[in-house]
Amino acid sequence: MKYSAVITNFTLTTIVILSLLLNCCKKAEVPAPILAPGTISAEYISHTPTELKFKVRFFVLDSRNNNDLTEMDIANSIYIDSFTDDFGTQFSYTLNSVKKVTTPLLGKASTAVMWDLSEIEEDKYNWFGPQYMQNQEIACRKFFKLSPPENEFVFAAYSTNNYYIPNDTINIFSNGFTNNTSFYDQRLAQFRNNTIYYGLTPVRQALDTMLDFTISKAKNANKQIIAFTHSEDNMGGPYWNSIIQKAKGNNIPINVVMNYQSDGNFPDYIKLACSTGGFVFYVSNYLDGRSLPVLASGLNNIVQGNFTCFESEWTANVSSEVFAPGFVEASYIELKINNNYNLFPYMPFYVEIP
Amino acid sequence: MIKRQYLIILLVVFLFNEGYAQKFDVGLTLNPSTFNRLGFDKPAIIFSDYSSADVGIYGFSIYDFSYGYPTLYGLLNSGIYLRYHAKPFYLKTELNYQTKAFRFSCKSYQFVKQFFYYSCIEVPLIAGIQFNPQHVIKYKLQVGVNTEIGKFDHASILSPFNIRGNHHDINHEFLDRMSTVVYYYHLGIGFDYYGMSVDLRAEKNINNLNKELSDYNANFTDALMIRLALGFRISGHHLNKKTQQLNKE
Repeated sequence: MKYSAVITNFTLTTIVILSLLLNCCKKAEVPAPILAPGTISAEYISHTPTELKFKVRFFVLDSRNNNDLTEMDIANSIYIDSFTDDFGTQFSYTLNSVKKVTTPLLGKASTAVMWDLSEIEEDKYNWFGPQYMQNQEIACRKFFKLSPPENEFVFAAYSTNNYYIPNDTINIFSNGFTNNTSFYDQRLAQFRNNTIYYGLTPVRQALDTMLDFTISKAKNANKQIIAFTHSEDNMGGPYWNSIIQKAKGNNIPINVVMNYQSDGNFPDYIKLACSTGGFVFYVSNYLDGRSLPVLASGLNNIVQGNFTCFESEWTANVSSEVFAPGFVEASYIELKINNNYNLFPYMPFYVEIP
Repeated sequence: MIKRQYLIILLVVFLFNEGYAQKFDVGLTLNPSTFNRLGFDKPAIIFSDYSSADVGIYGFSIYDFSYGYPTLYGLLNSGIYLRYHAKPFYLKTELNYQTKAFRFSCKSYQFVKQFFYYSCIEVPLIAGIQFNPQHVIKYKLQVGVNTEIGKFDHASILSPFNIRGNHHDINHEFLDRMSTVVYYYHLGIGFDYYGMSVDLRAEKNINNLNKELSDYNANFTDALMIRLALGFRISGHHLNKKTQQLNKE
């Protein structure tokens, strides 16, 4: 009896001592900051043949500030890179002003969330694919679970020839919108098991179907679509302009959360979001999508309005007379930060001279 | 309710102790190998940091469980026992420290080699019969109830459980969802050889494993365990035999 007690004590004591030792050896690590920059809107102000003034609203959510708007000195941190186009015209940009503004209150929202399950073709994204899918899942679940009870949402995924969604352009995973924040918990967890998806991106067809669904089923006046995409478009469907007109006609902003592929239709996605009043979130510098959960913290505020963001005014100057009605200024604001963490945040925008 | 039954059984055991002290023996236990299977009713368990972990795969029922297998922790699974003999029957109770490890069955890319660990104190109550009590190797069959109490989480210290890029203490959440006290019934076979006993026990939970049932999150369905249980007598029955012989003389 004595021996047994001694041995049992010995094993427990060993565990306690080991745990104390291991805990003492742990270093206190300061996590690297995660920045989530996105474009809220882009607006034309005025132009001359050699000068264009425009306004871009954007946000930079910062993990160091509880995933809220960053407290960094934003006026000295943003720039648009100069460049020379194929015809030898030099473009340069000057920041005129930047201030904090609050977006108009849109009220309770009905949001349709769409996932692109087509193949991510870039090798670098394939390498990070599993983490990207996992972060996308966390972001969506967080968005749903943080939704106030008056908000409602629906979840859908689009692709073709996919293991999970064979021969379907888009699969909407319920008959209508729901305000049950746990409703899609299992569904969201289903897709990350396959790390590489094979299929095309029938984005225009999928968007058209989603618009029809949202128009007919969403109860709230504030209707939104958030499309997670790899910025591809390999299938037919309505023209981009037709989708933009439909969205604008029904007052449904199409928000785009995208990563980049070299063969993708990058500008079309930016145009889609900026023209319909949606935000653009470009998952550029974190290949594993770790900024997505940070974005999700502010997503409900963004779609409901009354969201505090930055408003910047810019002047573009060119070396020859190119600014005229119909000219498109599609570029991106870059964030200049202490780059110990190798962050290169981009905020793409699209402005068209009317 | 079950706790009361245990107390009554223990009381009976101690009453017997008064009259039949020579029929008791005590010893050490060691459970070096345990195979565990934990079932879930949905394919993914969702955690409070909005992440999830796979616990099963759609359409492949054989994989809809998480399995555990022997680990080095088995070397720590030890305790003491008290056994009462009324040949060919015997009653036995144990007090064990036990660590249980489960591996997710779904080998999705993110969760390879991830474990759910916890440790606990176990109190098995066993009734058995020896088929050939006069022989050196005594074969036996036993049934019993096992109570798992005092669960604690040591994952942050010993477990490699950590989803890549996500430092949330998920093991702790697993444990937090499990009932504080779990009762198991068990069936075992084995043999006694001098002061050593070797059992192979199969156990299954009696009560609900979940603290709360969820409509959208994965709930535990059942826990099955097969364990190798060893016992090493350190005093009691064999010593008393000598005392009896001396008394007769």
